[in-house]
Amino acid sequence: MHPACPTFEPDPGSSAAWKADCAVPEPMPTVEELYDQHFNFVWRNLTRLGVPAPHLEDAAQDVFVVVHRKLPSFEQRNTIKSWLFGITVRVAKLYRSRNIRQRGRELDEEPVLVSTTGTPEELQALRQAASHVQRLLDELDDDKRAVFVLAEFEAMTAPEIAGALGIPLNTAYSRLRHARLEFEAGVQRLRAKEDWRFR
Amino acid sequence: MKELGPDAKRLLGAAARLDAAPEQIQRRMRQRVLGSVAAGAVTTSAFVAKGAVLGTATTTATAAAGTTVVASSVSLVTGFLGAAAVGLGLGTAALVATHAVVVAPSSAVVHVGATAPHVSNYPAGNVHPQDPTLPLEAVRTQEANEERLPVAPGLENEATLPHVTTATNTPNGALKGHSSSNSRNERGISVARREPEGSRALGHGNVSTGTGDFSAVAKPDAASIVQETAILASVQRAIRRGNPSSALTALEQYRVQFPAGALQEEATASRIVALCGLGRTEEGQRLSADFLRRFPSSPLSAHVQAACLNGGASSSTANQ
Repeated sequence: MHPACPTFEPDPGSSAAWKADCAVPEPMPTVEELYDQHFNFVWRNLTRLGVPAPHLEDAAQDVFVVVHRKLPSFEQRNTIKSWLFGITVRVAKLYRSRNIRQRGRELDEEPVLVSTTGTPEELQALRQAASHVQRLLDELDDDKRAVFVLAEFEAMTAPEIAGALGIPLNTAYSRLRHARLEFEAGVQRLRAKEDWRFR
Repeated sequence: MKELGPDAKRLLGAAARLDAAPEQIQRRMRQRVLGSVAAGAVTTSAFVAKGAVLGTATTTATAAAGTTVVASSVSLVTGFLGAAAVGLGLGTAALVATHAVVVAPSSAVVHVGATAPHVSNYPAGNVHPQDPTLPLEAVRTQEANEERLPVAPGLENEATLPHVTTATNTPNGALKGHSSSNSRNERGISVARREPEGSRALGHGNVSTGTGDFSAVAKPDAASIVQETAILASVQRAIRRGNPSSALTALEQYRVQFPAGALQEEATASRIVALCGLGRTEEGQRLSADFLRRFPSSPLSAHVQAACLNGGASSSTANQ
């Protein structure tokens, strides 16, 4: 803390400058805390970013090892989630780039993602949907896929996405626009196939 | 910006409901991730061994070391239970400790770029823009210098700290953790102190993996593991300070206290180093031969073999 800062916290609203200069930063979370709070976030995004199922565990471990190493340099102006996602994207890219031929895992066989709610029938439908979505996501390139996943699954705003991925805001918008167009086209193809199948 | 159509939204909405890892995976991963992190951040990558380059430091040094450790990349007992996990990256075997090639239970060959430095001391660097698993820069702090284990000449800049965690699939099927970790690893301690859920569910030290069946893993008591690692940490310190007789005293305490301890392999390796350091070469070599019979796939084999050849403690103290 700055030496000129008072040792007690002033009345709320008495000095904005005090807050800026003297506010005690949030305590840094431990890796364990991050793991407990965000493991599922990392896991599902590794999945959605296309890390093959056999490599998910290694990739998840890599993410948290990097988190562990980089935690001291974490800047709290970013949200933890966007920071985590930045690491997750890079790890996923690494795994995807070397395993591009191992596509087509069957979510039905050994689910890597589950839902805490829903009947078995519903879960089966969800898996079916997830399987379709995974194939459609596979058609996007890595950059567009990352933006799309953050926007559509994690409901992040474009500025948050830009921050997480370290890209300009306009680039984030542009990628999201293209990703949506491509995904939408894929859905229409899927719809057409389904219609044809049940005709 | 154009929004997605209703079909796409429905599809995504359904897929988004699958948002969590199965509980079994969560438990397993918690143990694995926190175990490795607590014992000294290790980044695994299934690709390096297939020829892909993760980082020049790790790959170069691995080639130079020419040392291969057959191990499992699963979490480890000792590292999980306490940040004071003791590693035996001694002397020339720092090569083993710093650069281990790991064979995962799934038979995928995994390289452990063990250049991850001490948790609480390393400077904050940046993640490589393309490859976050690249090794970090060297650790320069005095504390780290005091605590770190010796590194082979020429690898000083690459293998900064042999904080390696490998879990060796020993012939009897048990997993043993070999980690090199600093007892002053504050963040590591914070990771390891609280009993993780996975541990509560699975029992202390129960190591399980998704890809291999390690149900026969020994389940040492948590408290005893912590004590064992504490004793072996003092052994390590004594060896590093060039005081093998103190190391032997501590090892004797270990032998009495833990006649069937979970870290027998590490204790024996330390004993060999200490004996050779004291000039009791014949005794050390005899024990070394016994060690190699008992632990044929030990990652410490190379070091144990070299201990007496290199004049024992001289190699262990080379870096002080």
